[in-house]
Formats: sequence, C-alpha cells, structure tokens
Amino acid sequence: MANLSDKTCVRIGLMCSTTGSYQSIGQGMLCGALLAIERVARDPRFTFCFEPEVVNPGGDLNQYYAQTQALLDSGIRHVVGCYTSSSRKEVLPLFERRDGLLWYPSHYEGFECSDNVIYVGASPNQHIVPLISYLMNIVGKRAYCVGSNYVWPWESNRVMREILEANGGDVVCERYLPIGSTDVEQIIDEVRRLKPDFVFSSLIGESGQAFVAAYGKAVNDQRIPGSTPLASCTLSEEELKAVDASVRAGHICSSVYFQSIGTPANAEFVRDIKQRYGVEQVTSADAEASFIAVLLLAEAIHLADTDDVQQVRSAAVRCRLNAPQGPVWIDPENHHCYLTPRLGISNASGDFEILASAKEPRKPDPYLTWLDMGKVGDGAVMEDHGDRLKPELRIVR
Amino acid sequence: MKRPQLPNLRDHRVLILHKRDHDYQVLSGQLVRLGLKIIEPVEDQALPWSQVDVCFFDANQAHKNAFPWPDGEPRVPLIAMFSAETPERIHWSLTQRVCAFLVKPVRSSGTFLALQQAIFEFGSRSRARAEITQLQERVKARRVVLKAVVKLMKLANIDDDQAYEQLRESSMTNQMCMEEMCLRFLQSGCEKSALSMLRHQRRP
Repeated sequence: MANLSDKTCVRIGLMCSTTGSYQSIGQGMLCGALLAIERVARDPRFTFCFEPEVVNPGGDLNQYYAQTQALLDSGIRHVVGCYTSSSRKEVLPLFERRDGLLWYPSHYEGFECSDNVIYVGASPNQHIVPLISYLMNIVGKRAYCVGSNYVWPWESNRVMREILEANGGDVVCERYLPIGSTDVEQIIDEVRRLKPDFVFSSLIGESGQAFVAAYGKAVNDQRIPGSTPLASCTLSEEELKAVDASVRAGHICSSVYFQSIGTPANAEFVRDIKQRYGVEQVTSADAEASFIAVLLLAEAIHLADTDDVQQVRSAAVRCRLNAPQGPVWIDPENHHCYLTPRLGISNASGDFEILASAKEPRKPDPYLTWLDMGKVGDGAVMEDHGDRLKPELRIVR
Repeated sequence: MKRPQLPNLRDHRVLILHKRDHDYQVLSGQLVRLGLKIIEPVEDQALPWSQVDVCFFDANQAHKNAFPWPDGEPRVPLIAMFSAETPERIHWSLTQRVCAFLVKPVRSSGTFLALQQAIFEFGSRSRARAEITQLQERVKARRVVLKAVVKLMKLANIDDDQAYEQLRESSMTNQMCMEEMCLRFLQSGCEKSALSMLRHQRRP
C-alpha cells in the first residue's frame, strides 16, 4: 500500500473552459475532475496520483487546438476535457496524430468513434431518443426546435425531425442563434404564434440560460401555455442555478445524471463537491462525467500498470465503476459508455425530479445503428434487439 | 410518412477486397459498429456479387479485370481505397465508375462518409440511367408517332394538330403511353378497323 508521498505522479491534462460563453459548465467539469483526482490520491489501492495540468481555452476553438498541442508536447498522454463537439473535433486530429487519449466528458450527438477518444458522456440513444419517445407519448408530436448554431444542435434537430416525421409528427420551425447570443425574445414570440406541443432547445451556455429565463417568464405571464414544456438534453443544475427561482420549474431534461439521484455514491459525490467547493456548488451531468472520466482513467492505469495509451485503452474496457449515476463501463465495441438514461423535470429549487429512468445501463449506440425510428413512438424502441439494447424507460412517478 | 434523409446501414452486406492488414482491421471494425455485415469470400470460388450491397476494394492492388460487369457499369456501389495516388490508378478507378474514395491509412472517421456518398451516388446514377433509357426509347418511338399522325390525317381528313390531339386523348383515356397507342393504331390494318380501334379504345 503506497503512502501519498510515495506515490508516482502521472501528469494529465484538464481542459475545461472556465471562462467564456459556457463557463458555468466548464467550472462544474473542472470541479468534478479535481474531486476525482483527490479521491485517487487518497485511495490506497493506487500506487500513483494524478498531477493535473489545468488549461482554460475560454470556449475559443483556436485555444483548444493550441493548448492541446502544448499539453501533448509536454509529454502528457491523457487529457480530460472539451465540452462542445466543435472543440472535440478541433483537437481530435492532434490526439490521433500523437496517439494521445482524450477522455471526453460530455453528452454529444454521436456519429463519431475514434480510437483516441473515450466517450464518457451520453450517446444519442441515451439522451435524445428517450426524450423524443417520452414527448411523443405524453406531450405531442409537433416540435419547435431552437439551438446554438453548431454541430450538436444541427444533428440533434435532424434526429428530432426524422423521428417525429417517421411517427406522424413534425417540426413546425427550426431556429439557430450564434453561440453566446441572448437575443431570445423573437423565439418566444414565434413559439407563441406557432403553438407547438413542445419546444426542444439545444441552446448552450449563456444562450440556454437566457432562453430558460425568458421561457419561464413567458409561461408565468401566460403568454405561452404551461402545457407546452421546454425540453432539452443540455439543461443542467448549473444553468438552473444561474436563473431566477421563479422561472426554474417545469422544464424537462433527458440526462444520465441528475443531482437528485438517490444512490449512496451520488450522496457521497454531492456531499464532497459541496464540502470542497462550497454549499452553493451544484453537480451536473458534465461534472459527473468528468469525475467518472478521471476515475476510469485511474482504474485503467492501475489495471495496465502503465499510462501507455495503447495499454490503458485495452485495460479501460475491462473496468467497471460504481458511479454516482449507477454502474458505468466502457463498451469495447465503440469506446462509448454504458450509462443509465433518465428524464427529469426541474423545480424551483434548481433540481430535477426524476420522471422516468431506464432499469439498467443502456448500451451506447453512437450511430443510432440499432434504432428503428418508426418504433420510437410506440415505446418499443429498445426492446426489439434482445441483448444489444436494454429496455425502454419505465415511469417511476 | 417521410423517409430519413440518409439510410440506416444496418444489415447492409459489404465485401472488402483488401489484404488482411491494419487498414482492414480498422475498416472492418468501423463497419461492424455501423451494423454492416461483412461477407467473407470463399477461396477458389467466384466472388458472391449477388449477395453484395456495397464493396470496398484496394485500388492500388486491384487488377485490370477485377470486376465482372461486361458493360463496365457496376451493379453495386464501389469504394476505392487509396494509399498511392498515382494517376494511372486514379484514372483506372474512375473508369470502373467508383462512387467514393477512402484514403489510407484508414481512420475511424471517413468510412461513414464514404459509405453514404457511395450509396447516394449509386442511387442517383441508377435513377439517371433508368431515366435516360426511358427517354431513349421514347425518342426512338417518335417515328411511330409521326407515322400514326400522318395516317390519321389521311383517314379522317384532318390536320396534324387535330390528329395528334385525337391520338393523345385516346392514349390518356386508355392510360397507355402515346407511343404504344400509336403502335396499336398503325397495326390495326384497314381504314375502317383503324378508326374503329380509336373509337373502341376510347372509354365513355
């Protein structure tokens, strides 16, 4: 058993945008990763500890590229970071060329599978598909889509449109705002005029916060009916914290993690985050994914007995973690994670009450290969593939 | 119900004509992730083209008579895998009517793009070819229409516009193409039976 002072240091990169248009998410991710690094240092099973090299690209794609290059140049092999798909795609060629490993701790739109990335966040079958299934069955089939103008919303809205149309629904309108734009009143006006069954938002960062605030106010003012929910795969506790309590409630989110999950591992995670960073600090899906990413990396290095990328990659798929959200492990077929989809509805205190939850972790399907779009509406979407994909969500309240 | 813009590739059957090296491993791994089924050729037996939906081949190794189609028009989408971009190989691949290229070394990205491009391009070409064939047949049949118009002008003592309109009306009423209507009219023998045929073909 190694004492902390005897432990070998393994340098890793933490690349989180703690400033810029999605800084609140970046700060949460950094908190999650640093907490996991402390856990690794304290854990007597590990003969090493992590020495983090923390960089802040500030949401600037050029900085992501330059900082990744600098990290890899300095001999670092493993980096936990990136939030937007644009940033991941910007740095991916560097990781492939230098054979580094990016531990990507965010949900994303799928349609990628690099050997130089471990995808710790949710795949599209683990977030957007359960969300659409729920909305079609409970709310309606006419969607208004609004998103930030980049690849994640473009692709999310394509999936939304194709699934709805395959089930007799439609997208009444699709709008995009520049990343960071808070000019959302025009969107509220259009929603009011078009009267969709629900609004699907893939706005991120400050845009997402501004839209939640404006939407909540429009509902409070009865300009938009309360029966027209705002649905999202991106809304998190960090964003809810940033808006007034009067506009927080009633928004639906699909995510593999909510702060309110009642597992002992999550109670410990939330407690530790608040002890370490203050009671105001909240946990979110991206913070948990960053926490998981560091712990999976530690388990893989422990198993491989080296931080060599090839050996760590091979070992990682044999690791299993009891994460705050529940069991998590990496699918050797595609390097994405088995995760547990959930649906939550926000409340005034800035938490999510869980509406529905998958019974067990669901196999990642980054290319939606095993999805039958026409069956999403009948709730049987995941049941036709035997062992490949796990059963559909069950209603728990 | 509208169809998805891009097809799901699940269960498409793919033939890979490439030596079993690292590129093959990366490519086949990515194809399995996408849900395709890889066809394994049996040694000393002809390639099972009838069971193939899409084919990747090593453009730098493929020989001149690699493909069996006598008219040179592939029956499946072909994707050429390239390492050496030599003009001779590029030209040869283009003359094989490949639908997409995949540059080696094969990476995790690029395969999905090449597959979707090849399937889209192959479908577009097939539709264009079918349309050209149909138009060519109609051009050939114009002579038949002309002869029928002249015959009807003489028999009914009407001008060319009236003759053409009468034939067109008959073809529409009987839900057959103009060329087929004209052919039947020309084959109907004597004056009386020809005019009678036009009348009988017309429905009340």
